[in-house]
Amino acid sequence: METIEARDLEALLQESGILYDMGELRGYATDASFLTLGVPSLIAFPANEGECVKLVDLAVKHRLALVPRGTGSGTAGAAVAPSGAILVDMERVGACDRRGHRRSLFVPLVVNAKGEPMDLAKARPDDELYVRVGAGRTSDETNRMLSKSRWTVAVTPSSGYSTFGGNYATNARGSGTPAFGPFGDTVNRVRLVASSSDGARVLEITDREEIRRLAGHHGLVGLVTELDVRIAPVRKGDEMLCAILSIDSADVRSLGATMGNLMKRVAASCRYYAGEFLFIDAGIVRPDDPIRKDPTLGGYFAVPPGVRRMALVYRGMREAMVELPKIAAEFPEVLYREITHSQFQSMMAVRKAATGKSLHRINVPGCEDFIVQDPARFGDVLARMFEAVGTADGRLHGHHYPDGIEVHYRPQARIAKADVEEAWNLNLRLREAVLRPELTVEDRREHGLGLALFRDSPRSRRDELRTLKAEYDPANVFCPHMLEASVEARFVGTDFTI
Amino acid sequence: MTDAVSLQVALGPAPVARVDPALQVLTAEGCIQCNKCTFSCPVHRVNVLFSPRKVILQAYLGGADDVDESDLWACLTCGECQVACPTEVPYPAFIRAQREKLRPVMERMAPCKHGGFKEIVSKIMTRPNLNQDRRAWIGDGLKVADRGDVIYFTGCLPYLDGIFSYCDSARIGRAAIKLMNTAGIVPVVANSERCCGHDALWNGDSATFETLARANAKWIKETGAKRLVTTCAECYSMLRYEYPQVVGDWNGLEVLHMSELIEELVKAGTLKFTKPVEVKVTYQDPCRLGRQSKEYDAPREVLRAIPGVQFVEMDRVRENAMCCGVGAYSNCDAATKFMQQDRLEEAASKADHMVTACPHCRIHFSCYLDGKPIDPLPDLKIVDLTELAAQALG
Amino acid sequence: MTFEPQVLAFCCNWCGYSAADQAGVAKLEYPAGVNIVRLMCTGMMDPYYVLRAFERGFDGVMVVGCHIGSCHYKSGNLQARDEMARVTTVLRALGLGEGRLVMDAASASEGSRFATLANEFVEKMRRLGPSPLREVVAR
Repeated sequence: METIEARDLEALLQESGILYDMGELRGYATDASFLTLGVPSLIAFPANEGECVKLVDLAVKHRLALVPRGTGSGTAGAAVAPSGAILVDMERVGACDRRGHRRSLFVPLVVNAKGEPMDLAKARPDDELYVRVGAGRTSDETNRMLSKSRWTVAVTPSSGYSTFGGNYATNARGSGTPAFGPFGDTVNRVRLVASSSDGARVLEITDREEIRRLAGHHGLVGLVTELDVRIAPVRKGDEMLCAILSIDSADVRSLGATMGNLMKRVAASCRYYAGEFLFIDAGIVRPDDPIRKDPTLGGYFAVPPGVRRMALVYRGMREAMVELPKIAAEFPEVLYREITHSQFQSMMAVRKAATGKSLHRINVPGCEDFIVQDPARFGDVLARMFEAVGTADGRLHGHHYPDGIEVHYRPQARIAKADVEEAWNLNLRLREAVLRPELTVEDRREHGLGLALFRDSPRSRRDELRTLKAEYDPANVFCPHMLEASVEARFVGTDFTI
Repeated sequence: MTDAVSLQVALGPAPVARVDPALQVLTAEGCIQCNKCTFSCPVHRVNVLFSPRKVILQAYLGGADDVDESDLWACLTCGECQVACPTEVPYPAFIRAQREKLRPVMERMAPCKHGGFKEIVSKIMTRPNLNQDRRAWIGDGLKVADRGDVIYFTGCLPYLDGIFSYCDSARIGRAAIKLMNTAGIVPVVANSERCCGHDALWNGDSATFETLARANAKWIKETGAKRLVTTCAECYSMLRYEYPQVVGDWNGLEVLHMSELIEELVKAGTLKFTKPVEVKVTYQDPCRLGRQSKEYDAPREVLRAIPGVQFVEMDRVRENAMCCGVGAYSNCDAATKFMQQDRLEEAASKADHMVTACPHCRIHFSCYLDGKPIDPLPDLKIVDLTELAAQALG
Repeated sequence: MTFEPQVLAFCCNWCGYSAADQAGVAKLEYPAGVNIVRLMCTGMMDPYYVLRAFERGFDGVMVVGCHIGSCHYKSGNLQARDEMARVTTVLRALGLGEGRLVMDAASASEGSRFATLANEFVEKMRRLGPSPLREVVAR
């Protein structure tokens, strides 16, 4: 890559009017993965699509590399820039007022599938509605604005503060995934600043297949500036049903088999908006967490020794879930209980704990998005996972949360280098144990692999991404390092060195 | 790492760590770089280059000394980040410890952005031989005493109107005394009272804070009073939660915020609101009363008890309430003005009066309204809770 | 008991300071304890200067500007007058009492007026006694 003098680059940026910061930007050396490719020296903060276009024009003209970054909450290092590249912080895009100040209070624009503005007050629960948002907006602030009208973003990841651009780049998942699919499946329209040999190329994509194809692009295809994101209703009172099902068993295999069958039955006869599944062990929430004292929910967190407990939590329209209690009744080891919406939300908070973000730990990418082909064999998969990760005392080093019949496992580590390295190695052991053709299929649109994209993706996915890159980024300005074999990432922090 | 001494670092009813080295605080609690702090930070929203997460990472990488001085002072210590943080990193405590460490070598002379006045006044109050006249502002018709069961800790009230001309802060104090007198309480207002030391503590001058705390504790204990009430959220958080760490237990002295006293008196029937006050109000949770002391309900109960008052909540309330834009007077700049515009817009969309429970919130918002707003703003008046309550007396 | 009052005199460039200068040139005596600080305009006066002066142990503070209506910057002295009135309430509350802060005017040609003001003020401080904050902390 041709280098341009730092001074000249600064002059160009000043001329363009785009907000930027230059220097030794150690604060942006990493994201939530604690991986780094070096200390970036330039970060740009575009406020809207126009500024993104200017940036891409500059990048194409001067052969610069751009690495887009949202909130930087990813645990896979995808938002980390090698030195020499320009980090592009997308948080402001579509979220600023005319003075360029990011405002978190806003009036969400709700549209239908055709893109026509709709009045949320007149909407019915079954309507297919989307919120038109800038890529820099987060689920949290959008949900806050929608909550008055009793709607929510359909797929909200547990990092509710990740940007929509980031969610699309990683094809994130959330509690709405069992009902709506991964994030990419819930997007109806995408505006993208891609590249061409002459400069920036603004594209508006409305073909759902193409949108799905691009989901999980990891910043390789362009700067996403705006999206139409599916929203789902939250009905209170009698219309909504929230329930918790728990299963206890001493044997992981049989637990898995029961769960697999249960989930298969539920998926076949119920429609719901949100479903979460988690293993409850001694470490899922802190010892002093108030939920342990909750009169209704506390009991779930006291697991008798020698027993494994699984909890499934659902939220949906009551009329669409009539079968649920009956299905639960058919399994003797399943305990069914209806809960209130606020109790459901408490369990969602526990789910956040389950993903490691409340236990002084970080997640490293692990087994993501493995689909268990035959739910009856779910027990086998679980048994192998437990074997690969378990310790002598039966305590687990991570957290797994099957979503429907998909499995996610994220090893957790405290923030010390040895721990993190151990967790990454555990990932490899897991993949060895679980990724077997007779058991599982790896979902091609993975999320969370980030810098490990090259090393850990299946060949077919890498090829797919290269094809996308050739189509959308012929100038190769977006994350050129991600598909290179030689990407060497190091850890950062007081224990580590950059 | 897990063998480290257990640190009491949570904000709120539990005491705040004061003397721990900044980095020990962080590594023990374990920032996971999730960036949730940055996303809830009101300063980051208006100044994208300021990121609490970035500051913490710099502390990790270079030791706490590597933190940029401007970042250190840009923080409001409002605590929104700590509420959002999944691992409860005590960010304001970290900032405080850093300021303490940096004070001998920092470039800024006086943290107080209002011409250094707050700092110089509290420095003067560390002098033992001071003969203050802290009652001149009270005026006629109100009764105070030298001795009694209830102390009214006035804080800055005798001084504020000499500095902030766009705001009548003494009105808050007069309303407080009127309410107490009506309920049969003649509060002690002492000339030996000193600045509570809030700004000194938060701006890293714990030496001044401790001197003031000791001076205050001495005369308070000498009065033999059973209760101490204050109309200031900052004085409240200091006297209730910080002083015991420096001067020991209060030995039975109960420290109350005025809203808590009013609530109690109304519930007991000792105070009756007979005159309707027809206003539509919303309530601004002060950072020191709300997030840091976890007192969200008493002020709301008081508002609900006042006849004629129509109370509408803002969207960001209680632990999610947005700071008034200035923390311990040490950061007031363009970013502050944008924050204030944001918050006042929110308030004006709900009501025509914003009720505050801290004289400093009132001053800061009044300062903004005294100038020209950045964007059009509907008419909004700032009124203190105690002031409003006093209007409802017959 | 004799003590030598230490006074800080904030004088505006155009009037007060010039008057003090003139007094010096004409060899009109005023006490050595009067320390002069030149400001461009008394409108620059900040409560902080006054408070800091007392914190540092000065017994009195004078502010000498242009006569009302003659301010070089039109209304700076009016602002100063209002500001000093407000600061006086702070000084009273602090127990520094009445009279330790005064504001007056002396135009550029009124050297003798300046000397008189200075002498009278120092005399007043002598009567009032040392400031309760006089014990200056060694730095």
